[in-house]
Amino acid sequence: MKAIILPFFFICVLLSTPVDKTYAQSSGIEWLSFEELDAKIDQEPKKVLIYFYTDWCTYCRKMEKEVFTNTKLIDLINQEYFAVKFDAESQEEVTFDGIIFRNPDQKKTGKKGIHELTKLLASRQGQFIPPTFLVLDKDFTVTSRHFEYLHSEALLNILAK
Amino acid sequence: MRQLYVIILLFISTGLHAQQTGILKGKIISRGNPVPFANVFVDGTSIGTTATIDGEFTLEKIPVGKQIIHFRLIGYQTKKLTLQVKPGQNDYLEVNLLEDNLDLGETVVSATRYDLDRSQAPVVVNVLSNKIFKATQSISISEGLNYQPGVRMETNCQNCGFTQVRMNGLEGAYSQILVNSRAVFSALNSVYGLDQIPTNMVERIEVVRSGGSALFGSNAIAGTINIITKDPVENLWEIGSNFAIIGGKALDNSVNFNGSFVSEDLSNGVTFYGMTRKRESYDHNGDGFTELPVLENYVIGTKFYVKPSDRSKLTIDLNAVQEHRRGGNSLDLPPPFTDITEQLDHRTYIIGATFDQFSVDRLTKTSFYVSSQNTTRESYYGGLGGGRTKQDSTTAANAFGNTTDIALVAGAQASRSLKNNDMVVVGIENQYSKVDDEIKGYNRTINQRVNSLGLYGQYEWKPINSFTALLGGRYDLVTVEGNYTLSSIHRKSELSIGVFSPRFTMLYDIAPTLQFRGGYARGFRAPQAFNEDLHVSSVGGEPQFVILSDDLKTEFSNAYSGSFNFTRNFGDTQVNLLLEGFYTALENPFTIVSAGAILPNGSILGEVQNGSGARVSGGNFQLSASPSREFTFVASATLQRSKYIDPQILFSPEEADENEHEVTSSYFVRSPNSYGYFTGVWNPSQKLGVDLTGTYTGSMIVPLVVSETGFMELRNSPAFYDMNLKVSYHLHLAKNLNITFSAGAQNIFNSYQDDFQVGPTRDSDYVYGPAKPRTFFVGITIGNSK
Repeated sequence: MKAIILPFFFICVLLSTPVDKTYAQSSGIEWLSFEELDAKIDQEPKKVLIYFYTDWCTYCRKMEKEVFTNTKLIDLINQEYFAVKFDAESQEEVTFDGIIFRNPDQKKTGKKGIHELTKLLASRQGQFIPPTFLVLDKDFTVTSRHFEYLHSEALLNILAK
Repeated sequence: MRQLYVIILLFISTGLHAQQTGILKGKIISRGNPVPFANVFVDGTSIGTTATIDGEFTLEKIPVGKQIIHFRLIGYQTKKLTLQVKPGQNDYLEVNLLEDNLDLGETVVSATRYDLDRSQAPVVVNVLSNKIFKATQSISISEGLNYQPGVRMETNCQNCGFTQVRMNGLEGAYSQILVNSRAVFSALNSVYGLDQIPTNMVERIEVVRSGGSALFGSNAIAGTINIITKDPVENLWEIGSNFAIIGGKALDNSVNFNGSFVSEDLSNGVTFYGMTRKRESYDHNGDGFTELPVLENYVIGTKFYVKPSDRSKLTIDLNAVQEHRRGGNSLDLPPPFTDITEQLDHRTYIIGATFDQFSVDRLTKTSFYVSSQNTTRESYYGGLGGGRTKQDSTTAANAFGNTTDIALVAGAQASRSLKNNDMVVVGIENQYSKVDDEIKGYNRTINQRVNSLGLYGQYEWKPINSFTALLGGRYDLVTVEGNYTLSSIHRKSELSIGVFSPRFTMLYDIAPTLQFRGGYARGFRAPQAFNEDLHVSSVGGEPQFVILSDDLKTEFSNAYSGSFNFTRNFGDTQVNLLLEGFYTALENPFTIVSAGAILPNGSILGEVQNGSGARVSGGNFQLSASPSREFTFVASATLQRSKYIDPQILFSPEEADENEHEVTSSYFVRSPNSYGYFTGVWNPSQKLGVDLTGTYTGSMIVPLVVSETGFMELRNSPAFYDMNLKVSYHLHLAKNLNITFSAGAQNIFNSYQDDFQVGPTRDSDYVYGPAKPRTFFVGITIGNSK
């Protein structure tokens, strides 16, 4: 049986090593919190990308490992966008635009509950399914929402518009 | 305030003039272009219309007052406008719909937690996740299946460790075991197959009690157990090993691996897994005869998918299992020189392919699939049985057998989401199975072909938000051709019947925190050899056989179930309570009746007969509570009664006398009236985890053969508490490299059967209680997953 397992093990290791990725000089996308966005957008209007994730969402992990490491994407986002990354089940209070958002209920997704900001921005027909993206233009109008995994090409197409 | 709210919530209210009702006209647009054919309706009324090709609509006779108008079209986000309607109002509105960019295919595009979906399913679907297998340190799925309401695993043989799963008290053959929703688990697989599926290939197991859905076979009378293998998303790998000592004597080692690789755009992916295990035999009472057999498993498998386009997907599954098991005595000798040996060598291959295609509007999904399972088994059921005569030796030398088993499943299914959120599913499926079993020395053969052609349809009806009903039916055309020989006895099962099985289930949300579900299902089993009929146990030093009697009638069942599900938060504690009642009526249930030792060589013969009708009723109770993120607790109990209408004969001697009379039972044997489980998971930190799990099995009737003639006594088993404790420690070694150490004990209190039968003439079926005595284990897992 060893004869079978060892090669499989090596295959596993080989497959798990990134093959065609070159990392950007910068360490990656410069993610902001909502508070940081609040401060920055007043000084310098820019397009905004908001990314909602949870720690149990496998597609989110894949996005972070494989999509947000794409150099083209990192460059595009860092140059043209303010990028906000938000844990949809965050327990923190967030003050944004002078309003305090909380996570009062713990019903739907079990122990943690969905944050008010998630419900407001990222739910569709009352449901939040991660990953979810919001793209907003310079005057902070939503141009599109995406409720699915987006591979790098798809995300590039959306953001290059 | 920035325009955020304006965009997301977009409340518009307008008002105008006279009369008791108002009129609303308007045009629906998106990105400046008209949107045709959207549904427009007033909430809570029957007033509604469909927009024209130019996006124009007119709603008349809208009652005065505050009204919510819905604008709905697939591909767009549903919009609700709150309007203050005044008498005689005649308004014109331009409504802007936002495009819905979610891929409705939702095959792999988004992660959902299953309980989100489950809360909307009209059938109670219990999900057994990989977490439970980890918490109980289960190597194969047979070790973890206990942790579901109404589900109980039992061991049936000291010699070979034959296990079966009972749902709501009904024995294994009443449940349908599916692999990725396909019925490839044949009668033969159900004897030892649950020990052959490693937990590391399982994403989750979906358990549906009672016959819920028309989509699966009609022989799912007690329920379905659907084993869903891992669907790859991330690039992950994991290797692990487990080392255990059973009862301080027998070693149980296993090594496993699994990994997955999926392209960044999700257009193709593969997952693979493997496991090897060697468990030594265990003798509890020192009589030289095993209580647990030697077990050696080798399993490898893979699942691959490719998406030729973004609307189609091809999935291929491959699994190979090799297993050796042997129990009895003198395991170092060739089987014919031992008193008892049951030795089985299995080779199983399961291959499947599925092709899914979505229509352009993504509302229709069509699937085609084909799966095959092919098993060969070399068996030895026999031995000298304590005797040393020439006849004993000859019989022992000829107890080798061969079995081939093939199952083929092919089908097509189409589902369509309708405009009103209803959904319709139709399908056709053909299942074919062929088993040939031969043990020359006993002149025992089983040659059986079963073909089942099923046509089914199901309509998911959602007239209002708080109510969903599944209305379905299935028509099965079953052909059985079976020839069964044992010594000089020949039996036949030859029939061709068409049976219609209606199904109905509903979900009603009484309140946001309270749901009611109810259902009715009819099912049937055509006469054929099931799991136990392919197993040979030993009693009194001789093998004990089971054969079908002539003129067996088809068994029918009517099952009713109802449940309340209550979810609430008490402070920070989230509580979920499920209360379920079930009632199943069985007509002509297949029952094994022992005819005593009537075979020429002194062997006992069990005959499968149509027994007395039976009623199985009871309740499942499940309480889940999560006081904090660190602690989760689930407890479940089942209380039930499994009663024959008339006392059922279990032993019927040719010549009864005072000492050895007929044995009857009013209640099912091996079916406790109370059983349950609990799981407690405590994660005091990211690194440390403590799992306390346990099962309770109440007293039950267990038959014990007490005389060479096959005369049996019905005994009451004691109750058992089987508790497990596991501590695990998680270490982050480097980027994408994690290691987990675990240690603990299964059956901490060593709650184990203490009256095992001893020696070469023992009744090897007299087994009850926990699967193994106290077992200490240590495990290690290395991988790149979080």
